[in-house]
Amino acid sequence: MITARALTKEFKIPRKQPGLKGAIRHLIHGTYDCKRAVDGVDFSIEQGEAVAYIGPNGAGKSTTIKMLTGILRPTSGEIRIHGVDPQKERIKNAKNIGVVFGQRTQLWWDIPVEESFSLLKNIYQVPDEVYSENLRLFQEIFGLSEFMGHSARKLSLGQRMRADLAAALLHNPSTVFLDEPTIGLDIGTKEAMRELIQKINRERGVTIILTSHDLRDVEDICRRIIVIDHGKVVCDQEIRALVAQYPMDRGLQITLSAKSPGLLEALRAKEGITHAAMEDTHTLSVEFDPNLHTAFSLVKEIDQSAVILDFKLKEPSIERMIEQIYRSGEGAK
Amino acid sequence: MKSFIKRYSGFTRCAIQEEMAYKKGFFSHAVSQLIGILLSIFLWRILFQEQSTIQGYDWDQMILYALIVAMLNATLSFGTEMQLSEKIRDGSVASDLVKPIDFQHMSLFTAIGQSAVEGGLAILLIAAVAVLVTDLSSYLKPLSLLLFAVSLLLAFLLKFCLAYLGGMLSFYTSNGYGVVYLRQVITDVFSGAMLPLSFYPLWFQKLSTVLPFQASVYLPTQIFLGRISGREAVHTLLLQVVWVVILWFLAKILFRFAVRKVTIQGG
Amino acid sequence: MRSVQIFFQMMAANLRGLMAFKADFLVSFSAGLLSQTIGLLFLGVLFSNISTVAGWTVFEAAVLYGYMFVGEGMMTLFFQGTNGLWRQVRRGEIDRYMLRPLSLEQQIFGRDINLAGAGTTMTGLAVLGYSLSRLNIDWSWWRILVLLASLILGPIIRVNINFACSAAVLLLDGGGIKGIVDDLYEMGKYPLDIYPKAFRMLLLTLVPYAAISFVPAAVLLGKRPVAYILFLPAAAVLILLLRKFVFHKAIEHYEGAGN
Repeated sequence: MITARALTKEFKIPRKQPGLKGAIRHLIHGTYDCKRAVDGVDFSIEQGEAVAYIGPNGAGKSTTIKMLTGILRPTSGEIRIHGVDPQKERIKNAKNIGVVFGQRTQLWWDIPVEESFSLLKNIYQVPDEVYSENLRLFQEIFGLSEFMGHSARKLSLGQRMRADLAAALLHNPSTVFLDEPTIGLDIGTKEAMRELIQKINRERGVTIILTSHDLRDVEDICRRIIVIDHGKVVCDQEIRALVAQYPMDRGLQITLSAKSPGLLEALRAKEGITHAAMEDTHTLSVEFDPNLHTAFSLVKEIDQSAVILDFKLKEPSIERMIEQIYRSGEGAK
Repeated sequence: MKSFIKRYSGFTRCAIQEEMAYKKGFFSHAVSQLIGILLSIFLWRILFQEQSTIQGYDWDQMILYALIVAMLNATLSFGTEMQLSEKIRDGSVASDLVKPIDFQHMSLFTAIGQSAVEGGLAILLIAAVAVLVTDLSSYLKPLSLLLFAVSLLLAFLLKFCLAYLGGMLSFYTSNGYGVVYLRQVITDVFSGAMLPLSFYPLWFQKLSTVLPFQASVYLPTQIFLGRISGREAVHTLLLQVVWVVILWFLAKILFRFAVRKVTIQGG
Repeated sequence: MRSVQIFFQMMAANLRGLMAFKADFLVSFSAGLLSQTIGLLFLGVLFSNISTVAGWTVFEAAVLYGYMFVGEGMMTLFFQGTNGLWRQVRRGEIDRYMLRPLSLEQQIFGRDINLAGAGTTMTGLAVLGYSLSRLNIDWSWWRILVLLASLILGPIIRVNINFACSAAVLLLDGGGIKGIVDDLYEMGKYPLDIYPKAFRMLLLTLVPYAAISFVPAAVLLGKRPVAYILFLPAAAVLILLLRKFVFHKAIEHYEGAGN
């Protein structure tokens, strides 16, 4: 079980005036701004849960993850991971967790991946049978063997992230932190990453804490979502309940052969159309409530009054969902 | 010319600001300088207790020699060269290559900025030490000071070329530090930064006169100390100019090869 | 025991990583060898113009150089990771260390290997061996003991001085304390007698470069009484404690400040 109580983190940021004069002034006496990156965060996560920890850039996600993993010390508040304070008992905590930072590799840069792994095996004191069992699983889902002999420097981003995830799971951690694990990856690699994460969560009961800007990651892996903004938790719910509560509007972008008079007015008059506008002379943008319309029915309807050259669905994004959460007036608790 | 200066002087300004941003580094650089100077003062003080001149240098001349060396070392430091070599090696030079500017010019103007800050404080410090421990009065003649100033400027350009070339050599290995360090040590010996060249065996002195290094340290000191003067001094300045031109264009050519390698390796 | 084993495994991995750059292997090694040899040139040229420095002859002074090279070389070879803590922070390496169930010190020690250090160490041992052999020393058992102890404790002192400075840079958010202490290193190459009292004290205690070179050399050459050797273990303990304290503070500061 993971608990955070009144978790707060403040940073001191040097304030510099622009230009040469500012540089000289800073040299003589520096001034600092205080920024509260995480502000009184509370949550509690049971063993085996899969939780998405999301929010806009700069909301305090990574700072929270860094505190949970023992890298940063909270300014105030308390963290317990299986009863361990990750800050005070860093080494004890490190044995129980696995961490993947999408932007940075955990592997040794210049040595073959398999040697990184065997080094990690010794560092974490992984028993032989666990080690080979895990390697087999990773091989099955990831096809690691094709680049096990290469150094991390030579891997593509997709290969490196697969190796990184495998490295984080080698010692059977009971909790895994994933900070933007799929950023910049192609579809195939993303799928494989999600598959492995799902598998260890469902079959081994490993707790997953994930930050991502990709809604698919969140939908596929997590059942619960914690939204953070300006350092505060603004929403903490089961995803299913959340989706029911804030039905997400779908978007449709349609290219017309010519401007069609009266079309916009007709669309706007309908129930369940939340937005309709011409983006330029030929492109129509529509947003609709998926409970009342389907994309197909709308396209069919518009096709009767105008000539459609092309259309595409706009995927709902986490940013839009968060936006809706704010818009609906939930705000900070 | 005016637009050239305008285009590149921005790099100088940025370098100055960056240098000043690390304020603790700024002051400790000066202290660092002082330690090096103190060490040579301590060493020479002991040696001059037993003799009044060594190889024709008296106390004043020896200390002034060491101080000028320290001043030249302070402008365009080891750190500047390391930075340059790392930039070329780790491929971040690629982001500069896409800008519509010449990398060598940019590096020079950046180095000017860094040196202005690093060297500025050091020069004040060194001048203060010179006043305190030596008798300067016989060296402060307007004409020789003017020649010395020109010679210093040329020495700076020469040092930049040597550092820039060293940075590029280090590009061919992954251990930039080793190569930069080695180049620095070799330069220290042949330029006279370690000891006046007249202290060395004759064959070595002959060798060093055909190498560019002496023009970056030894020749300016000789002009200041009045050991080279008049027409000979003008010849010396011309020699410095020749070396600057040769190394400048050599660097341009080598850079083209280095870039080809960056683009092949993909940085 | 396990930590020593992991240290050597890390070193082996680093070495293999280095082997990938074959040309570099040689360049580093000879850079270390050559640059120290050239450093000796100063001594040679200086002594060709004078006879003694504060009563030390050329071979006596070379013993000091030899000791300093060995300390420097061993540090560069095995403990290069203690050098650029600041850079390791910026690259997020310290974050990575913190995620692993090993002490940070161990991971920093095992981070990097640099073959320039092998060249430097070899030069140092050669200089030390040759100079001592030219000095007609009576090798009684305690002199051998002093030599062995100084060769072990010297590098330990050197590494901890460096590590402490690197950590201090973290603690103070940059700055040149490391550069200053690196410059003081040069002072270890000359007899302590040439410095004013304050510097002698500094070099024996807080920044004990003299304990690496001057203390054992002066005792071996009979320029100081045998008891003077006590400065060596005392300095080693002091700098070790100091390093532990500064590093602890630096990590506390780092955990508090973030990036």
